Amino acid sequence: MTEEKKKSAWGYVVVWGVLAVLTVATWVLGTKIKLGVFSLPVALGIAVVKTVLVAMFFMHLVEQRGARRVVLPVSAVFLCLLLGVTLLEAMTRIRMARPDGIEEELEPKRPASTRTAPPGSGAKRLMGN
Amino acid sequence: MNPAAGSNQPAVTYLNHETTVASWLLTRDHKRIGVMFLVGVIFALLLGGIFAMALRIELLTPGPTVMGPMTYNRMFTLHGVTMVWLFMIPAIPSAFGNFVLPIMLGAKDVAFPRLNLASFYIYLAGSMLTVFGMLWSGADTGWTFYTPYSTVSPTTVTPILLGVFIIGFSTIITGLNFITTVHTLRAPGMHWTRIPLFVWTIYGTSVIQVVATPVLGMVLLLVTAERVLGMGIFDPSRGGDPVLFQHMFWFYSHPAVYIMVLPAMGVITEVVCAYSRKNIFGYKMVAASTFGIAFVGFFTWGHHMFVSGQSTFGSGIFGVLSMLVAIFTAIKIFNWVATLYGGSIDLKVPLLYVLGFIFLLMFGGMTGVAVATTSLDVHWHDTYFVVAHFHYIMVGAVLMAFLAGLHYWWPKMFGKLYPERWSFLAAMTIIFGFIVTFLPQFLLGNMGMPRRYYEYPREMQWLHVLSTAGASLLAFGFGLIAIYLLWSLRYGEEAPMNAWGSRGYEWYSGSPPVPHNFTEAPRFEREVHDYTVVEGPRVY
Ligand code: HEM
Ligand SMILES: [Cu+2]
Repeated sequence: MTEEKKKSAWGYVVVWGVLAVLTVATWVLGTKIKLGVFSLPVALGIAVVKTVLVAMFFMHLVEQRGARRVVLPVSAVFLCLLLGVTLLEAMTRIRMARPDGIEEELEPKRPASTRTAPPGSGAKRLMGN
Repeated sequence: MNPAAGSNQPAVTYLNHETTVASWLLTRDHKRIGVMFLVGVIFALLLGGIFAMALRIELLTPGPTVMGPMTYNRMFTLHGVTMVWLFMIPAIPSAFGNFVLPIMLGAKDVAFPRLNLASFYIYLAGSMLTVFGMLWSGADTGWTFYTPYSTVSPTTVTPILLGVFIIGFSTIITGLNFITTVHTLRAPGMHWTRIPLFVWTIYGTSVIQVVATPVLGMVLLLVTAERVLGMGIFDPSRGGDPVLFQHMFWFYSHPAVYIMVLPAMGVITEVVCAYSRKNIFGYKMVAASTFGIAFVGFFTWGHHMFVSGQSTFGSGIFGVLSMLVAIFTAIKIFNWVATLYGGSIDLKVPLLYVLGFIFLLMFGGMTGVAVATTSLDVHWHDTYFVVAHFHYIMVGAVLMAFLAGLHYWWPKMFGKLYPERWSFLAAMTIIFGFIVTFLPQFLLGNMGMPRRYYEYPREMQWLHVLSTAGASLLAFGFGLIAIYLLWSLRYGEEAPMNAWGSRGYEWYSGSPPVPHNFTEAPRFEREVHDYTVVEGPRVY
């Protein structure tokens, strides 16, 4: 314990700096630079890197031994499974019947309370097809 | 240890060393917490059972019988929510797991006793919020809370969602506690290859609980946010996707069926060994298949979504992967049968439930493989066929295992014997009543009877009447069990230390156990369930 106390706090500051840079990067890449189809993977990738940094350094996972070491990789595997398979499914869906080229604005506006979907509009934003 | 006068039970037990109400409510003893969970889940079972009888009575006639359509919708939601979230998920791990797991490992308690107590109160708080929501006016979404309906339904969905969310934390904490206990608190001699198979299944279950439950928490919170704040995550008119809800929900809820069934399989393994007086056939395979089931269970969730608009590609993949579960389940079934084969069978009530379990699990599992075949499921989806499929497993198998465990460990937990004849009668009533209730539902579903409807065509009536008759038998059986178990607590014959001559490690401590389980540290020198030696385990 005493030895750990002596360790300087600079490591944490550096990690914090990296996190701050990544946060700015998310914002810049999301608003200033149009990445198109890559925007989702890039945003998720940055988020994952940030999560790993927080878990490893601020939550002290790097210092752990034995069974506790597998916690992070196992969580990562299951997270990838959830996101990966869900996205794979969404990307392989048959396109809804909706004439091409019609912008959302051209469709009749509906009061929010009815909450019915114009055909295919949800699919468009989530799946990019 | 000094037995009380004229008795072979320990004089001071976890039941009598302190008897104030506070000593129960503030206890950190895993055994008392297990008993409190047992009372909680049995109460939930009673509540869910009352709702079930109301449903069955309504379905006696093709038209309205005793309630309107809206009440019926609320009633099946109450039934499903109570049975799944308040009873089935915590039942075996939190009640029996808490009671016997530390004893089986030779530990004095679980790794985090205070957290264990917290887990009980979190369960209680979540259940109370859920029950409050039900009494306030009740939701009508079914236990699955499918969007978009659950985000717009005018009924009180929010408190129920939050209640289930809170119960999730209890599940996660209990899981973490058991994992840590298995890793850190094994007594000397308790190698990894000597861990009792019940403990292995609870360990596998705990991993699922820790990995999957957060996803359930997330999705329930998202539905709440969508209801309260109108966030639009699942609302297509704002760019959301209702199928995303089903992905997240079933990512938890399919593995959750293994949260229910794995501990049940653990109980079955213990009981099979004890009453066939044989060591388990293929210990390593049985332990490994637990993890096979737990792992493959994470790759099959899309089989609930074949008609949801899921992509054909997705359905194909999920359909094929679902079949893999059958392999690991079959390993267990073959091993139980091989253990029974040539054993000196002692047909006591727990074993009767086990035989019911094996038969009904196969029936339920095979129909699972059938509904996992996409082309067939398009016909059966949302019909009584699916209702029958999962009741075969959840009631026919898991509830039978719960009853087997209850009867097997009753003398261990309370030091009392129950009247054997009555228990036989009750078990036969329940197994027979179960088949009469749910076999007709397969036929109904195949004829096209949709689930969650309160009306139906006249031609279907005789099957519904049969089903209601079976349900009444079931209710009668449960009533019988409640009466003779409560009776035995007061008037029952005192149980010997090892009522069944079992070689299970949990019988190393007294019946009922002493406050810290053992008076001296137990040493595990023999393999688990070793019936080659004549005498039972020594009591420490
Ligand atoms: C072993 C324990 C099992 C339990 C506790 C269980 C439970 C359930 C439950 C509760 C449902 C209905 C969900 C709902 O309300 O919509 C269900 C449906 C389903 N189960 Fe199982 N199940 C088990 C095993 C299996 C197996 C082994 C398979 C396949 C190999 C399987 C395949 C399916 C399929 C495909 C459905 C969806 C049917 C439909 O909605 O059309 N199940 N199961
Ligand atoms: Cu499933």
